[in-house]
Amino acid sequence: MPKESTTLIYGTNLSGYRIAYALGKLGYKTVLLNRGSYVDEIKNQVLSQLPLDLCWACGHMPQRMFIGLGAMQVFYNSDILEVNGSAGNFKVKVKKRDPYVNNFICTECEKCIDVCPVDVTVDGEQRKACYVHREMAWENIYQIDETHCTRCGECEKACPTGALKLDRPEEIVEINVGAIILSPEFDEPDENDLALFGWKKFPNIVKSADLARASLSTNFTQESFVRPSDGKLPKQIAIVITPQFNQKGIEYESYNASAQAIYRANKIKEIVPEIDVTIFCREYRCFGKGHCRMYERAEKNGVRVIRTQSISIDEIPDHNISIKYEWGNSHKEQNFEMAILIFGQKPPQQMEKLKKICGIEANEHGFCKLEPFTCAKTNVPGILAVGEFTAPKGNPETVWEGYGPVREILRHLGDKKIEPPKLPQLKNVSKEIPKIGVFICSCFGSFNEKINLENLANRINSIPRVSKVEIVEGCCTPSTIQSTASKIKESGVNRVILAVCTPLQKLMKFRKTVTMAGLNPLLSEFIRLREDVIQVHDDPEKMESKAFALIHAAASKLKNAQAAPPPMDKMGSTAMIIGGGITGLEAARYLSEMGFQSDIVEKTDIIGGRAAILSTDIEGHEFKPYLDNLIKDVNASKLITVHTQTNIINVSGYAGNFNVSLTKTGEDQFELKPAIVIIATGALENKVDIYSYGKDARVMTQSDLEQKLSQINNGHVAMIQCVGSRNPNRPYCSRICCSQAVHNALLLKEKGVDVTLFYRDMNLYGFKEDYYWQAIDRGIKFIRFDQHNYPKLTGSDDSLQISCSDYETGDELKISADYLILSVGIVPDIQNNEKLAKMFNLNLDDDGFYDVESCACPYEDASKRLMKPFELSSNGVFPVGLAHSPRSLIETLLMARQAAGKASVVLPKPMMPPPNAMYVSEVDADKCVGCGLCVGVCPYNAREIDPVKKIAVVHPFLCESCGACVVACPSSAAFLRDHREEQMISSIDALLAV
Amino acid sequence: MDDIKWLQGKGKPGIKSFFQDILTRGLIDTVLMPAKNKKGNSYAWFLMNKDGFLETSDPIPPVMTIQGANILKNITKKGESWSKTAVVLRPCELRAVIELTKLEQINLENIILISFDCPGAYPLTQYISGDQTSLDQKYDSSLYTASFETERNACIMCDKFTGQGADIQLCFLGQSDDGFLISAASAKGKELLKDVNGTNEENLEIKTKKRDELLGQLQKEKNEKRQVILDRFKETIYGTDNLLNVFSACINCHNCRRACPICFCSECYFESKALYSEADNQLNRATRKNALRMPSDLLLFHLGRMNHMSISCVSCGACEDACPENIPVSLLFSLVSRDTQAVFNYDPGHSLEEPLPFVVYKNEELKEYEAHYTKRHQSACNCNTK
Amino acid sequence: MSDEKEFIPNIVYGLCAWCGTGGSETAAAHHLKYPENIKPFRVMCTGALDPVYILRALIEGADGFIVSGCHPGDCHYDSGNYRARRRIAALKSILNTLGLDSDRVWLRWVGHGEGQRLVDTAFEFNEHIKKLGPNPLKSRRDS
Repeated sequence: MPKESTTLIYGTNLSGYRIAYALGKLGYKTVLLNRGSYVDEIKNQVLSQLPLDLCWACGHMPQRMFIGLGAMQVFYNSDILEVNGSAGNFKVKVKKRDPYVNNFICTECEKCIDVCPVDVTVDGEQRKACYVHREMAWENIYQIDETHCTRCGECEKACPTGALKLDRPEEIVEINVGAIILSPEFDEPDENDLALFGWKKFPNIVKSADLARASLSTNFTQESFVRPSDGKLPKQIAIVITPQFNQKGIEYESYNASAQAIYRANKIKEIVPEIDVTIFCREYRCFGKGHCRMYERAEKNGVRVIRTQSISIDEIPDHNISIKYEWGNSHKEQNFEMAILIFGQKPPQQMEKLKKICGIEANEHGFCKLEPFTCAKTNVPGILAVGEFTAPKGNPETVWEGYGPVREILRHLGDKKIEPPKLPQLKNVSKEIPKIGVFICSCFGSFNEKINLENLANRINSIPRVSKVEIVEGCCTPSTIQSTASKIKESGVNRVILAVCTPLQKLMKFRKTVTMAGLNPLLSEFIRLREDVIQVHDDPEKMESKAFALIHAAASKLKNAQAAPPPMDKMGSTAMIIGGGITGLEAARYLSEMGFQSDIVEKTDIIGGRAAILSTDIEGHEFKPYLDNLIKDVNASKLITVHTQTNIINVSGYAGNFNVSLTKTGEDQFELKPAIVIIATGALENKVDIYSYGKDARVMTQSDLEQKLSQINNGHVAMIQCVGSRNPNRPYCSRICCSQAVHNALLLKEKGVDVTLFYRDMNLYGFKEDYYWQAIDRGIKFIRFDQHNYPKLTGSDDSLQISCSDYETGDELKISADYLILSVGIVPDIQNNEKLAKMFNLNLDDDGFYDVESCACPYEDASKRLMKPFELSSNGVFPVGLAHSPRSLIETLLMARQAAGKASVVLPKPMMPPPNAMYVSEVDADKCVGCGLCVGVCPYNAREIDPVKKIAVVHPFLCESCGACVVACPSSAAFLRDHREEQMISSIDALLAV
Repeated sequence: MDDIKWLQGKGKPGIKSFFQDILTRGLIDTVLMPAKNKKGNSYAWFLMNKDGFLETSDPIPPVMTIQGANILKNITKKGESWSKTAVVLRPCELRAVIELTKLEQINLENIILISFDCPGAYPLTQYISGDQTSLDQKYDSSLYTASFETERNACIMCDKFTGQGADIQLCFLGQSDDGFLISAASAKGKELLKDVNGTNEENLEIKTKKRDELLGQLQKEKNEKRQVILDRFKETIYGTDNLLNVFSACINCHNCRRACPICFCSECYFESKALYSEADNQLNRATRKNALRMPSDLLLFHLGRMNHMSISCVSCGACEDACPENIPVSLLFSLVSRDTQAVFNYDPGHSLEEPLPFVVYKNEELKEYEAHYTKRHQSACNCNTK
Repeated sequence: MSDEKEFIPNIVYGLCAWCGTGGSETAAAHHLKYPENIKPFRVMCTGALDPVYILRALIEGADGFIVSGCHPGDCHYDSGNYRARRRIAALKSILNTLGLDSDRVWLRWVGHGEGQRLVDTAFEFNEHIKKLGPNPLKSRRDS
């Protein structure tokens, strides 16, 4: 039986979206099941926690685009009912109910609201029963309030496009799919879960996410931080990270909560410096990129961080808050005027249902269980689980995870189905005198009610070069696109202005209207008559003047517009992987399984790297068999070539077409021409010369200890965490040391060795925290010290004497141990990183790891920029694993797959038009003097100076048309095709000519 | 000391013989420096080998006819020099060379930059129309004492008058006129200096110290003077009226930009079709104001040029020399660039390592230029009550 | 009589194609009103807003120019807004030195969802420019 080529995605977490995009780009269709009635009703992790000041638009828009292209279908009010069949041929029964308003057809004319006879007041807001839901600001969601609607049918009659239908019955449909992706959303703790913290009990205890939600339309201002009880600004605010104090099993956290706490604290300090801010936590989990620096800034801002094992919250008079907390052996109490709760994640509530329907298993915490060492594989073949459904994760991980499973999904899919739409034949108008046609949309008559379109049209007639002005019904529904396109064609104009509504959402439709009329979209301008005029102003006369000015400006801009075809560029299909460690090998194997050729470049004489000396991790993953297998596969693959003892000496070219010169010891120089490059060069163990390390053999690093573990069978071992890190010289957390230390401590304890562990913060995140409790149970002593007061090695005769002052009790402790183990952390291989970064034009971050600002790889601290709609364009270099940031071996493997997954979306394109097709930047060769300013500012490495001609050239498919080059160029040699300088200047003139 | 020597030789002929010497001995293949024209009233640049070293050549001419950076740009813009070439530059020319190197307009491969303690220069028109013999005499005699007085604005307020940053520096200040110090600051410079027949005599330290003392004092004075002059000037041009008065005589000839070494564009933005507007544009603009000065875009040109190049302006004064209307362009641009450069703490021409401010950025900076929003604006609240 | 006429400033609002424009569309979606004399001028990115455009506007009739785009760290093109901040800092420095009211140019970040912030900014800037009075530059015929 042939395999199906559609994929079902259940739930709207960000990994699920990512997968939909990746598959869409590869030409596969997806069906997305949304349990809600609109796009973000069920909030995913990022929307739920809102850790930073968030803009979701760039993630939101591709969804429309993909729906428009037919690559994606979304079922609303839907759920999964039954799964039959097996991988490649699942038959899935789903229920769905289309929303009353199909927002893909809706023109947002609001006639339905105007005619609705039912006035209601909900939560103090006056509206009709038919209304626009505005919880999330990025899209107008037309809703019908079922409890108040009288079903009179007026709205349906008034709807000019048929988008609104009151009769939307629930349907049960069966769909055939090759693979199923489970990506249900984040579950927020509710009132009961947070009872411990007084939320909903005391007015001045607020959830951080609510605070952020309330401020979405203004971003944080003073008003965001006022007390709910009296609307006054509090003098003291407490920020509490709840999952760290809540009862076990209720909520889990990765590092989102810690980062959010610090971020909020800094924000408050920035906006109202007078407010005292105190953060209560057990540990500050700061292993995300830049998070330690955020902490340093908070300290500088005067934010207090109190680490305590338990707190209790109560209300005192005036609705103030009293927080009692454990401090050493005593209790302390502090009063606040307001408290902000940062919550974690509940085990997924969809688990039980999905277990029954899909046959998947849950782990002991109630999250979806994955097969060890795999990316998203559940125990059922063809059913994969991603995102917050499988574990508490940081935002970058959640977002990025969608690429990893591409290989696994494709295994279960048949031939691809979707072809991108072809551009219609366009007229050549280069020899014609500009004739501008202005087509004013009346939005089915609704604009006329607000503004006199006839008057406007008459005024526009006087603008030079305007030869046609016409009022049209619309140009965003199939029939009006058709009719407006014919009107444009008939009028014989060669430039078009559409005075319409929102190009940000309907861009594709407007462009379609223009191209159907045979005109290049570069010869068109879209005016937001509704968004910039009608909806934001009241005075009809002033509105008319403003509309005139906007159209006048557009006409002046269009006069000088020039058409041009979309440029194309060739694209190679092989990858080069730098570094033959486990990360690089994993990436190579992934790509070979996808059918792509790759070259591994390794400077030493063996592959496998440092992973070869690792045995197991804290969670019991055995690395040796995995690595042996991996090396076997790599050696056996015909698509992978391994170059050992090889160094890179020069890189030229650009993403898609790199040209790399290499030398192999004892051989001639040779060349590779990869399309993309994966940098998996790893990092180094930090070298320290404190605590007599190197002088006294009893002082070791954790890795040294792992080699000697079998020799230590009794006595007392002391461990010190954060040695030489999380200080001003190295302000980052190495992420892995705490689990490594606890893992080793547990192994020692099993043999009867006593262990004392000195630490600052226990960064055992996610489920790893279990091992911390296990260690405590087994009698491993944990002693916290202050960052300014590290334990000291005071003597080293028969035994090692360590003294330390306990952070909480202040007690001076003296301990004698047989061994002292230092957790020294990971440092970047700066020399090597700098060399490669220079060759590939990459940036290093402040700590010396690869920065990923403009790279394709995980946006580490940028849950803000979740998804870029046109992410096909990257600069083609993917730093992964330890080269990118410290992380555990399992995490580096995932990262390798994610990068390779992304690469496999990019590689199968022999010819690529640029992501923004027509709108790329260009160089006027006569004017360019090769100063290189544009090259220096281009965030995409899309420009370089031609070594022979000494002028700038553009690699069109890397260009995202941001325009940085245009501003950098002091001449007008650099320009965007649709924003030429002469266009911009004359449009400003016209805009102002009142 | 391998980076400093003392060279005997009286006055300018002595200085010139140093170049003659290094050419003849093959330490360099060619030298680029100005030489006096036949008529004797002006200078032009010559690229000379040992057989062509002109009698009239003058490493330290009393005027700056063409900014040296512009000359060097013409030579190396499309590729490196294949012969070892020494280029003699005024400090301001040197700074422009550094800027243009960062802007890929000059290739320093095989180029040895030589600069010197610069006494300043005469305004171009004054020299050309004056009595050159006496002007030359007055100029040459002031080389060692920093006593030269000029009316050239850029030189009056110049506070970076040494050849710092060059491969080779010729130092006259504080010396008697029978010789000068020559110091090397780079590997290239040291390589050359190694073979220069200078005396490495014992009182070198005293001579260096003498210069340093005079220099320290002079730099302080000149810097203070610069600030005072610019501050005073600012008062005279401040505000729309004053500023437009300054420019009222401008004839839009754009000579200032042509003379400017930093304006390296082959076609100026403000001469490009970006501003070539059709009749209806000009008429519309005129209609709005009821009248429009022609040719238009005078202020846009000057402000726009400041926007493009003030970050790299080296205050050489070439613009002012080139202005047929005697507009104090140099003062104006120096004033503006003093502030724009301070925004980024950028010192143009100081070092090749210092990146151009518009190529780099920091995540946390310049917050004072943002309009912060920490409190809801009241009238908006009132107008849009929900 | 015409002297008594209320001064209505001519204001250009430079918006990036992503957050800035998004902010204006969110404002519209919420039907938030702002003064009609504020006219949008769109560029791809604040980093693509050439200061020359601002100068041109101030000379050709604008009383003020606001620039809004993605918050720092949130630029659709990674770093355009940081570069914009540098460019605008330099421009404001020039205007400031020459006494040309650098305060007629504002840079304020507005996110896509921050329609209210955009509208507040429009009001605040409008009032600010009203206080400053007409831009003397715009009526000069000899500019």
